[in-house]
Amino acid sequence: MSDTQEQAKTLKVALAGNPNTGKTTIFNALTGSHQHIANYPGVTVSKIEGTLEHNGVQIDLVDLPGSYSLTAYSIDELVARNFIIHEKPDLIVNVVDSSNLERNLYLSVQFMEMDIPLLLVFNRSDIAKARGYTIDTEILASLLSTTIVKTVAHKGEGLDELKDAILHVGLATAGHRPAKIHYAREIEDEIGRIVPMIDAVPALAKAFDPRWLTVKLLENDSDIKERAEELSGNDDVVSAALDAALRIKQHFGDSAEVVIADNRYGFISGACQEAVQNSIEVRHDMSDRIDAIVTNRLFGIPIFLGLMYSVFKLTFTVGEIPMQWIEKGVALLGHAVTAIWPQAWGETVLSILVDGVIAGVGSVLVFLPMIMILFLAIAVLEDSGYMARAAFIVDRAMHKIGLHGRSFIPMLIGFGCTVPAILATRTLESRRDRLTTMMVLPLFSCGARLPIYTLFIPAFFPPHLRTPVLMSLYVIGVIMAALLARLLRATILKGDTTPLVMELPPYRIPTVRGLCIDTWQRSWMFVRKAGTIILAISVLLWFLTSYPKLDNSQLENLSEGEVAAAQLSHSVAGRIGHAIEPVMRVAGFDWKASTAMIGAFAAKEVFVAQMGIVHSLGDVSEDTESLRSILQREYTPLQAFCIMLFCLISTPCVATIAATVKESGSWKWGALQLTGLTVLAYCTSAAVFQVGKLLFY
Amino acid sequence: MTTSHEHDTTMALEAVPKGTTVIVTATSGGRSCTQRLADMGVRPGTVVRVMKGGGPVMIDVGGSRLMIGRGLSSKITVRVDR
Repeated sequence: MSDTQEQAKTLKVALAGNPNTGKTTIFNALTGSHQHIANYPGVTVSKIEGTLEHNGVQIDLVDLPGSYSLTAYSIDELVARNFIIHEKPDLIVNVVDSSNLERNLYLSVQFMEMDIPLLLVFNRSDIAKARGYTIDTEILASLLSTTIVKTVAHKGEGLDELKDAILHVGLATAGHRPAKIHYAREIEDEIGRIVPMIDAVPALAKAFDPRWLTVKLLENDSDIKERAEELSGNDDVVSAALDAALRIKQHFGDSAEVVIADNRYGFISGACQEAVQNSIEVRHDMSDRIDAIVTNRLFGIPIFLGLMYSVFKLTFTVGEIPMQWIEKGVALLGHAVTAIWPQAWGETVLSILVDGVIAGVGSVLVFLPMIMILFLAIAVLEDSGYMARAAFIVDRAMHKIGLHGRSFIPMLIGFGCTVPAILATRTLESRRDRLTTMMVLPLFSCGARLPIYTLFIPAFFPPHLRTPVLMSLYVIGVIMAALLARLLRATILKGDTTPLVMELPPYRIPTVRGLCIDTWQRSWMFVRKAGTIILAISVLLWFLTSYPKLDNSQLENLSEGEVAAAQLSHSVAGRIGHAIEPVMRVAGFDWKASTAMIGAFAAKEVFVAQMGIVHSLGDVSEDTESLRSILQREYTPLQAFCIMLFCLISTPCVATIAATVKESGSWKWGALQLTGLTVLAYCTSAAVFQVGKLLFY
Repeated sequence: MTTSHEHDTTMALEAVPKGTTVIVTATSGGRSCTQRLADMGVRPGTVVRVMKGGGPVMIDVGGSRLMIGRGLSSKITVRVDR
C-alpha cells in the first residue's frame, strides 16, 4: 500500500456485484473497446479485463463474475473470491442495485470484511427513486466508512464522478478502510481466541486476513478449511474453529453461519433504517405484466415451445447459407495448396496439410455460423430476462429427472454444440447437478450429427416419413438423457435434489454490445477448445486412416475411388473396423460403417466423409446422391436407423470428452462418459436391430 | 419471532396462494439451503409476496423477483401477514 503513490500511476481495480445490477454496463462504459477476455486459471470462467486512463493514472479493471455472496457456493463466486484473495486488488468497486439495497449490501458487507479499500456504486438510482426510495448516501457512507457514488449507468450519469472516486479511494494511502462488522459478543469472543492462533502461523497470516479467515472457518467454508489445513500443515486452527462454531450453535440454537448471516443483515438493516426512506409499498410494472402471460399455466408452455422452435428454425435455416460458403472456401483452399505445392516438398506433408490440417480445421469452422446464430439467440433470451423464466417453466418437468430448471440452459445449447454446453454447466451450483448434466449432454443431438441424418434419411425413408424419423432421433436423445439423468441421480450421483433459488431479472431490451460480447465469448471458446483438439486428432486420424500404405503393385487396374477404399481398408482404422465387425454386426453395422465410426470420434460429421471413402467414392461433399444410392444397396432401412441411433448416442466427440475432463476436473468422468455412452449406444442399437429384424424380416 | 402471536398459522411457502404477502418464519433443508436463501435475501423475518404459486414459486423480495424451485418451496415456512 505505502509505495502505491510514488511508483504510481497504475491501479488494479476489481469490479464486483450481484448479477443484474448493471455491472457490465458500467464496465463497458468505463473501458470502451479496451477489453480483453481471458480465462481464470484452472477454470473456464472467462475473465474480462479492460483498461482506462483517468487524470494520468492507468486503471486496470477486472470484471468479476456476478455473485450474491462470497460463500463460494458456485464456481463464479469462488472465482470472484479467489481473485480478491490472491490478486489483492488496490480497490474493489462494488456495483449495487439501489432499488434492492439490503440484499445487495449483503455482498458489500462481505467485501468490507476482506479489509481491502471499497468503493460502492449505487447504480439504478433512477429506479430506486421511481420506487419511492430516498437514499441518504452521505449518512450511509459514514455508517459504512466507504465512499458511495450514485450512477444511472445506462444513461451515462455519474460515470465521471465514479472515475474521480476510483482515483481518490484507490490512491489514498490510509484511512479508507471500510467499517468493521461487530458480531454478537459470543462470536467476537470466539474470534478473539482464534485470531492469535492464526497470527502464530506465518503461512496463514500471510495468505489471509486473520479476522476474515476466522469468520470463514466459523462459517464452515469447506474450500477455505482445506486451504487453511494445507497452509498450516495441521488442523489445529481448523478444529479450534469447529469447536468454536459448535459452542456458538449451542448458545444461539442456530448454526454459526446462520447467526453470522443474521448479524450481517442486522448491521445492514440498522444502517438502512437511518439512511433509507421508502414511500411507496407495492409496485406493478411492465415486467409483472409480461410475466403474467409468459409464465401463465395455460400459455406458458406453448409460448416456450414456440420460442424454442423459432430458435432452431433460425439457427438451421440462416446458418445453412454461410456454412456452404465456408465449405466451399475450405475446399478451394485445399485445392489451391495442392496446386501450388512444390513437388520437392513431398506428397506426405501435402497430405497431412490438406487432408489432415485443412480438412480438420475446416470441419470445425463449418459449424461456426450455425453455432454463432444459436449463441446469439440464446444471448437474446438470456439478456432479455426470458431464459430465467424458461427455467421456471421447465422446473417442474426437470424435477422428475432429478435436475432442476437451470440445467435446461446447457441442454438447449447442447443442440448446437456440446462443448459450450458443458462449459455452460458452470452456472449450476451443486457439483452433483453439474456432473449429471454434463454426463447426459452428449445425448442432445448436436449440430454436427445433422449431416449424418441428412445423408441417411432421404436414402431410406419416403418423403412423408423423413421429418418424423428425424424428429424421432432428437426425441429419443432427449428421452435417453432424461432416463440416464434419473439413473445417475439414483446411483453414483445420489443425493437430494439441490434447492434452486434464482433471480428473475426485470425484462429489458438487450444491448447490441452485450449480445456481441456474449456471442463472441462463447463462440471463441468453441473455436479455441474444439479447434485445437480437433486439429490434433484430425492429424492423428489422418495417420490411422492412411497408414500402413499399400504397395503400388496391389493397386494396379483400380480406379481412383477404389484405390482410396482399398487403402482405407488396409489402414489401421480399416483394420480396427474389420476387427470389430463381428461385434458391431449385432447392431446392424458392417466393417465400413464401423471404420467410419472411428473417424467420427474426432468430429461427428467426419462420419459422412469416411463413409464416402470406404465406399470408393473419394470426396463425397460434391456428390452425396451417388453415396445414397450405394447405401441403399448395402443397407436396409432398419440398419440405417440403427447406424443413426448409434451415432446419436455413442462416443461423444473428442472435444466433448476433453471439455468434460477439464470441467469435472478428473479423467474419471470423461472416461465414464465415453465408455458409458458407447455401451449404451451399442446396447440400444443392437436391441433395436434384433427386435426390428424379428418384426420386419 | 417475538411479534408472532398464537393465532397465526404457519404454512409452507409452496401452499401460499398467489397474491398473498407473507413473512418467512423459518428456512430448513440443511446448511446450504439456509445459507443460499440468506444470500438471496430470504431469511426469517423477510416479507415476501407470492407472485405465482404452486410447485416452483415466484416471489417478490424487496423489489426483486426470485424463483424458488420445487422442493425448496416446501422447506420455507411462512406466516400470513395480518
